Amino acid sequence: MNSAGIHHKGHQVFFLIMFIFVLAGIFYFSPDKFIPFMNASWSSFSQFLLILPAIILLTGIFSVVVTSDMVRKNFGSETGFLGSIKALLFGSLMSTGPFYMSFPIARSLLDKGAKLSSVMIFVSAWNGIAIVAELVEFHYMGPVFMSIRLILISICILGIGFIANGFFQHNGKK
Amino acid sequence: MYTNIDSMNTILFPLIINFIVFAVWFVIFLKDKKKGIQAIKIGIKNILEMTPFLLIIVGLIGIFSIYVSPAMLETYLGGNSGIGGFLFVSLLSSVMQIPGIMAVPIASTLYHSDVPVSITAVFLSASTMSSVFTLPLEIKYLGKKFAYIRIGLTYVLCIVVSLLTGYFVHLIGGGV
Repeated sequence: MNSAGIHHKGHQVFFLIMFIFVLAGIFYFSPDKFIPFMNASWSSFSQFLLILPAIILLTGIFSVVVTSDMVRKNFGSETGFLGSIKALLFGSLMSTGPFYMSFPIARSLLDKGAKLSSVMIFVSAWNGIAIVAELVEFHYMGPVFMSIRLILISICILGIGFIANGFFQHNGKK
Repeated sequence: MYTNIDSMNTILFPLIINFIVFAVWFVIFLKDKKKGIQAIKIGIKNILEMTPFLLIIVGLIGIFSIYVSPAMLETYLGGNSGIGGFLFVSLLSSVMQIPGIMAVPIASTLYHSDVPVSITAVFLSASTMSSVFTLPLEIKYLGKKFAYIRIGLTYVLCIVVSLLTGYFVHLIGGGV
């Protein structure tokens, strides 16, 4: 999983240590910047802490309730619009682990005979409208921005699925 | 300076969200104690895995706010920057892959300064959905064709969606 880059835990710790050294350097040469830096960082971080309990519980709840078995059973059974909606929902709800988990899961769905457009919708929904991220977005950006973007992006993801299906039907499989 | 969210919303929204999620969890816990405890364990493990990255993002937001003034943002990305600022942000964010949870605090910094909403939206959409960084991984599992088509379509549709998001948010007048 080398190409996972910065998302790998060991790499993350390494980058964090490097980053702290850079910060230390900046504040050694301009100590007056330290207070504004802490203010800005804290105001962002405290926002995050406020919804941290919900984030922890929600990621946990969905990884316990929505199992990969459940997703597998529900893929391929429907091929129409309902199937696409299901793919969208499952992508969003399943998206509790790191993003690169979506690729192997999508692969196994394809191997089990799921429709290509559904799989592409699944991957895009996993990354684009993850349920927990939508919660954080609601909290930071407010209901108007969040709901408008959620609706438009959902339509866009369904569109990606349909257009992609056209591409693949023209030129045969994979 | 960047965060001027109403104090009402900053306290009330998280309280309501936490309460609803806790209620859902409690129902699951009552039905199946094992599942309830497992959910908490998985949730904490997921957060711990992201913590170093999260701290880096928080630090970057701090650095960003001391070196990039709202006036600078306004000049380079504001209303007068035209299509150039928008395209620059869209390209930059489609190269990066940032998990949604962490992209939102950065987007919030943009949203609460004078940057057009469409730029905030394109940053959020493109940085979470399309990524050149993860292209090798996507190709490995799903094939070249799948990956190229997905990322190409995502980029184009993200631009359309972001412009529409900007339009509708202005129409409804959505502050936080």
